[in-house]
Order: sequence, then C-alpha cells, then structure tokens
Amino acid sequence: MSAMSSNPGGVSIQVRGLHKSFDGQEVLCGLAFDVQAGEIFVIMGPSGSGKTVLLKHLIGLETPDAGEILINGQAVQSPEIMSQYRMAMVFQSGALLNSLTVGENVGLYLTEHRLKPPAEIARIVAEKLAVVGLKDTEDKMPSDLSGGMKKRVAIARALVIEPQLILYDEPTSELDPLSAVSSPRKLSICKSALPSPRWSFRMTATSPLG
Amino acid sequence: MFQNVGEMVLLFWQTLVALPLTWRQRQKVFDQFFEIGNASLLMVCILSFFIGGVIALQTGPLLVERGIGSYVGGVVGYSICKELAPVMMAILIAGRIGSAMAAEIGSMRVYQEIDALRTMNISPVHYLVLPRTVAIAVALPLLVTFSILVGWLGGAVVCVANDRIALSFAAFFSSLRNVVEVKDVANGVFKSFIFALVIAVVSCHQGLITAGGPRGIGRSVTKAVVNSIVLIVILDYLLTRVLLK
Repeated sequence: MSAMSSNPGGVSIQVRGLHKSFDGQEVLCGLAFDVQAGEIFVIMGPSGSGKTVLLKHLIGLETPDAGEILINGQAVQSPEIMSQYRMAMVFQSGALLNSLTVGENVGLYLTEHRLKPPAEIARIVAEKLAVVGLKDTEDKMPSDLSGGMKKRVAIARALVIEPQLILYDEPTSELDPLSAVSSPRKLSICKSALPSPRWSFRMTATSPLG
Repeated sequence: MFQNVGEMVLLFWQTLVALPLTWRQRQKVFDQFFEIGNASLLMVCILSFFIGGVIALQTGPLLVERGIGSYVGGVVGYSICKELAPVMMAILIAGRIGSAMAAEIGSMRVYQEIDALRTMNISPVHYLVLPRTVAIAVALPLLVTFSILVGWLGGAVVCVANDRIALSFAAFFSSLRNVVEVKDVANGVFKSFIFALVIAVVSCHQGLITAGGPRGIGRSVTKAVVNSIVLIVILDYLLTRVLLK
C-alpha cells in the first residue's frame, strides 16, 4: 500500500443523510452538502453542535450511524481511501505527538512512509515551518510551545503531506487576537504554498457567541 | 469482556501480520528494549536474588532435617527456572512496563495523537503496538534467563551462609546440575515469551481503547496490569499442564 496518492488533483466531497448519535443524543441529524474540488468551505456553529464530529466523519475517524460520505464518489470508509487521496486534519488541540520534537512531528509522514531521504525531509520540514512563521524550532519539544505555536506546527505537519483536502478544526482557537484576525489570510497563503491549485479546504469555526 | 477478548485477538493477529515491518521500526524496537531493560534490570536482580534466598531458606532446613540436604540445590534450581522466575518477572514487567505502555498509548488516544497518526495513514498497530510487542517479547525471556541465574546464586549464598543448611557452593550447584536440565530452563524461558505477548497485547489494547481523559487513563493502566496478571496466572497453569506432557 503506497502512502502517495495516485490522484494528483483536489477532491470533491458529497455528504448524504449523515446521522450520528452518542449515548442516545443525536449530534448529526440528516446532514447533506457538497464541496467541490478547490473550494474553501467554512462551517460555523455554536460549541457542541457537532462540527468536530462532522470533520472526523469526513476523514474517516468516525463511522456514521446512517448516511454516506463520498470522496470523489468513493465511500470514505473504504480501506484504500487513505492511500488513494492525501488528506490532512489540523486538530483543535494540534494533536502533536508529545514524545517527538517539532521537526520529527512535521516530518513524521515523510519519515514513516519513507518518501524522502533524511536530508530532504529536514529541508522540507524547515521550509514548512518557515511558511507558518516558526523558523528554527525543529529541536523544540511540543511542551515548550504555546497553544498557538502548537497549532501552527500542526498546520506545517499538514502542509508536508501536500494534501488534496485539509480539514481545520477551529483554526483560530488558541491564537492571540491579532493572529486570529489575520489567520484566514495566512491560511490562504498556506493554500498557495501547496503545489496544486485545486486543493479543497474545509474549516470550522464557532460563532462569535460560541 | 468477550468483546475485549475478541479485540485483543484481532490486535494480536494484526501485530503478527505486521511482523515483516519490524526492521523498518528497529529504532523504536531498540528504544523500547532499552527502556524495558533500563527500568527493570536492577529490580529483577534484587527480586531474583531474594526469591532464590527465600526458597533456599524455606526448603533447606526441612530437607537437611530429613537427611536429604543434598537436594536443596535441585529444589531451588528447579522451582526458580520452571515457575518462580517466569511468573514473578512477568508480574514485575506487567507492573512496570505494561502500565507504562497503557498510560503512554492511553494518553495518546485521549489527546488525539492516535487520530493524528491515522489521518497521516500511519497505522497505530505498526507505529505503536509492533515495536512494543517485539521489544518485550525479546526482553522478557532475556530478563528471565538473567533472573534464573541470579536466583540460583541467591539460593547458593543462603545455603552457604545459613548454619542450619551449611552447604558448600560446589555441593549446591552439583545438586542443581543433577536435577535441572537445559529443557527445564528452556521451558521457563518459553513461558516468559508467552507472558510477554500477553502483557504487550493486553496493555496496548487497553491503551488503544482508553476514553474519558486522565481518569480514563488511570482506569486503563489499572485494567492493563490486573488483566495481565490474571491472564499470566491462568496461562501459567495451562502451559504447565501442556509442558508437563
């Protein structure tokens, strides 16, 4: 199984009649929408309305009770989907591996799938960290970083994959007010840093009162 | 309960299937191996020495009183290599290493690190379970071999030092050689290999199904250790029955 996608372009998403309950409480109730390849799609809603659960469904981390999610017409739960398409998710907490350095975290995908030699991985890691404004932080541990820095490392880790679909969960949480205001522009810069113009982006954000 | 057993069997099978990838994960295997040895060697040494000493102290005077003091070495050697070293070391490793495995993987689960691995198409079985299982499956039999030797030494020292036994080193090890065969040691080492697989699978499985924050991690650690010990004792009986034939 190869980690590299055989499909170089962006991906479209179709969500049909998505239902999900936890302990009898319905979180997703018949959700349906389409996202075209290359589209930036923002989901807003109050805290606890199921945005993160939806994102986890979109990347195959959760299994729906009913309904289907299609990535380029193919069910997201099919075993080969992760090897066919490169998808990344930036978790709300960053979800960095705390036992690895920042550099190891960012280069993890390339290292584990043996896609590049170590020197090339080090160069790519430095490049992606520079894109998110964290130059020369490769040797730091995640515990040495602030919440906002962790988030940016997580974005760099996602960019290394050169994903066809990036899911951002609460991209402005844990950022300082100035960074939060400018983050949509910065995420657009990240998008332009990717090699293909046809990437799908998806972001969730809470409402101002959320 | 039965669902957990099924999941553990499945996890073990997935780990077996992933074995050809061990070479790729060799650095992690080595790190885990070093961690297990580093964390346990001194404790194994102390525990084994005193277990050997206690067995000698308990059986020596009784055998001497009955005029069969020359068998002390055989009794101590046989009980340590076939039963006490594998079981006691497995329980020690379940407590020290199994708990650490469950806690580490459990916290990775709770803090979404395992979800992050899956989004990068990195299998948690290949990345987390395989290196730990291979490392403990190699380390525990080695620790048990070491434990057997130290336990014998502990028994011999007590036999020499205790006036009620008063056996020489040469007499102790002569008796041991007459009773204990290489296959008896191999028997104990084989048991420890099976126990190592049990500890790895139970602890990693508990870590992977952790839910509910720090309290959930604590619960997983407790379950990993308790379930490992219960399974070790049950398997010990079954393996002894099978290996006696």
